[in-house]
Amino acid sequence: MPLPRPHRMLRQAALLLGCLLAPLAQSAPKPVQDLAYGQALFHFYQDDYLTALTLLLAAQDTGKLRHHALDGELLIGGMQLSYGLHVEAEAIFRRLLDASLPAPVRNRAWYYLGRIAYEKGQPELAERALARVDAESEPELAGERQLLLALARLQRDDPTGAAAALEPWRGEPRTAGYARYNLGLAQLRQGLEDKGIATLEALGRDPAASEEQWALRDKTNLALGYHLIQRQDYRRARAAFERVRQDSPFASRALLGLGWLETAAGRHAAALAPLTLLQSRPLDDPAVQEALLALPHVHARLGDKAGAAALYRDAIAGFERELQRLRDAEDAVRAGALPDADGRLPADLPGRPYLVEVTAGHDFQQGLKTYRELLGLRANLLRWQASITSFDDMLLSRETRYAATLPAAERLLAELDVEALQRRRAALHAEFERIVAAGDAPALAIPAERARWHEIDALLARLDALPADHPQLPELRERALRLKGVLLWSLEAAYPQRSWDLRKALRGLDTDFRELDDRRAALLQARVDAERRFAGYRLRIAEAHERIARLLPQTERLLAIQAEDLQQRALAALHQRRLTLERQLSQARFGLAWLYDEAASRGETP
Amino acid sequence: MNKIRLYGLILLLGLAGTAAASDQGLDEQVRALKREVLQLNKELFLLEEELLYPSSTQLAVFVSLDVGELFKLDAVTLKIDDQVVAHYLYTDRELAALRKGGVQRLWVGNVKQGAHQVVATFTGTGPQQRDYRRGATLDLNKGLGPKYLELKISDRTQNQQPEFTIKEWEQ
Repeated sequence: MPLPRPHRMLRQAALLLGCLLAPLAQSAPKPVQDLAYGQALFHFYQDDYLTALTLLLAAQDTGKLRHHALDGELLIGGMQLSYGLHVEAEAIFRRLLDASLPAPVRNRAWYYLGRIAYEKGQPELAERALARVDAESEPELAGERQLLLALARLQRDDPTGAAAALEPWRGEPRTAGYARYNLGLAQLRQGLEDKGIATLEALGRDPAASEEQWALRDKTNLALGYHLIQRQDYRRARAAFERVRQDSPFASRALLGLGWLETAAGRHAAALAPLTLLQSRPLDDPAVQEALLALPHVHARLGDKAGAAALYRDAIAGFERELQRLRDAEDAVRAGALPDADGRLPADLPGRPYLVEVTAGHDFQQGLKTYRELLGLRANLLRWQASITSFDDMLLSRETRYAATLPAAERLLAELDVEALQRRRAALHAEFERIVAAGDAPALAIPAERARWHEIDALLARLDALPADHPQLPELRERALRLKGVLLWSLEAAYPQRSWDLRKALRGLDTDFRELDDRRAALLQARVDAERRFAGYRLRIAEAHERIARLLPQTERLLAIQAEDLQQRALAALHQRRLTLERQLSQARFGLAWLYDEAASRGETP
Repeated sequence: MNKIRLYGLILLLGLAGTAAASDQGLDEQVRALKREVLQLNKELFLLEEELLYPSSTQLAVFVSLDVGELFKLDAVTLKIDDQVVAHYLYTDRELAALRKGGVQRLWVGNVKQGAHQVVATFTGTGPQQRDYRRGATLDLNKGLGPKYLELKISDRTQNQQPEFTIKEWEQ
């Protein structure tokens, strides 16, 4: 029976870390004050980083991030980092370390610089950056910082420091389970067996309220169970495995663990139940394949040679079937079925479960992510290629419209005698100044008053024409002069308001003249600029055409290289998987042959 | 951001660092391509705005959601001067992005300077899970510069009813 390798479980057990952009998310969204920022967030929250980045970069260029300049910078840096553009992201975060910026911005900048250093394999630098994060007041950042600090310390082989980084947990309660899981593993790695086991055992017994918590609990119990087998603590190992849910993705490995521990403890009969249960599960599961080989071994140990031989025969048939499925999977990969048009594993691929298993690793998933990003770039370039023709059309239409309106504009400019208008304005000003200097109230009379004034003057003239000895002349003249006096008095009374109104109107006229000058200048400038602007657009569109034409084949080439790389990795992993199955097949054949030999030596038939 | 989803993304220790060193050449080529495409995207986006939607005629309409517990948005229909210019059905993913503070550009187009009427009709599920349909209207005057409108859906806690407004932005 092959030896169990419980340590492998722990070596492979991963520290769990939050998403790269988690600290960017606000616990409560603050109102958006720049539409462009909100628009980018709409795409960011749908994981469409390419569009979100494009919108933010364009908004920065056009000054549309007046209220969210810092938020925008942080978001751009975070997305660039996630998009693999480390150099650009680092430059942004370094800019955001400025002491004059708010502490939350600087904290996030330090956090991301730590993240970049960690990803570059520079744990000391990462630690130094993380030490500058003041995360006390920000639980969502505090937890991310603790997890990253633990990773950085493990990167430089310091499990003690990693464990210290996780205690006490300052992050959000919802993510405390991940911290405890990581803490337990770090404690085991530093040799603190009792502490590590106690940490994992407590987590493995925690009540779970969500599928996520159940999954973490199952994973913890599985890792703990295999570690306890290694320590030959079979009682606690059994309890850990039994805490794994039967319908969990970890259930097969838990059942296998139960089988191993009973066998290791010499209780072969007790091993039968979990191993037999495993037989009913899909045969492509590595745990089920191990059980396929272990079960006849246990039967043989219990003296049931006939049963063992039958089970070996079943195992041989099963391994042969699975080897054929593996070969089919290899053929499909060689034929280019991986990855599919969406950059994923095709749903109908022969031997798909094997590919799911071998492609689950981080490197492969990163490769697939890159492939999908390249697909996104290609789709983006194709979209521009299709829509840029409308740019040409729009430019043509604007040029045509411009050409149609140009003669009218030219005529208007030609007919506009600005100098004559200026002369009239100057004359008006001069007349006003004269009126003011002379206090000439009648000059500001309204038409009715002016008519009345003229009537009185005419009347006086007519009186002057009468004979000097006309008997009514003195009285008539006096009445006419009184009327003129009353009118003059009312003109004088209205004079201050009227002169003020007139001054204001003249000022308004000055403004209108300035605007006229500006518009005329703008029109003249537009006429000069139009050709240059149209030429500029033509150049920009032509350049874009050229760049799209150059970038598309480049993208295709990288897609092909990336696909080839993924296929080679998948084939290498499938090959390793095939070697394991072939070894298991040999062992089953050997086990059966041994049973036959033994039976023959006793003159029996197994 | 949904932490459950976030934390579902597990980065394996030891493998979580940079991509394999043997892939440096390819990685750098991919990065260079990303840089170029991003730059091109930005330039074409700006060119598109300038050419297709000049500021003198540009009208852009956005949708935002404040809280959104009293109303689950299904669709928005937008009419400008009695012409339907947009009808949009929302996915759960888009609604989640709106609830977190994202703002969707529903429509961008060109209108002449002068007076216009904008009518937005929102359909969805309101309080007590009832079908809900409400409208909001705005008479606007389009000037020389671009005009931005925000269709705001918010929860009015006083009467436990959703509120639909159209806000004019000055930018």
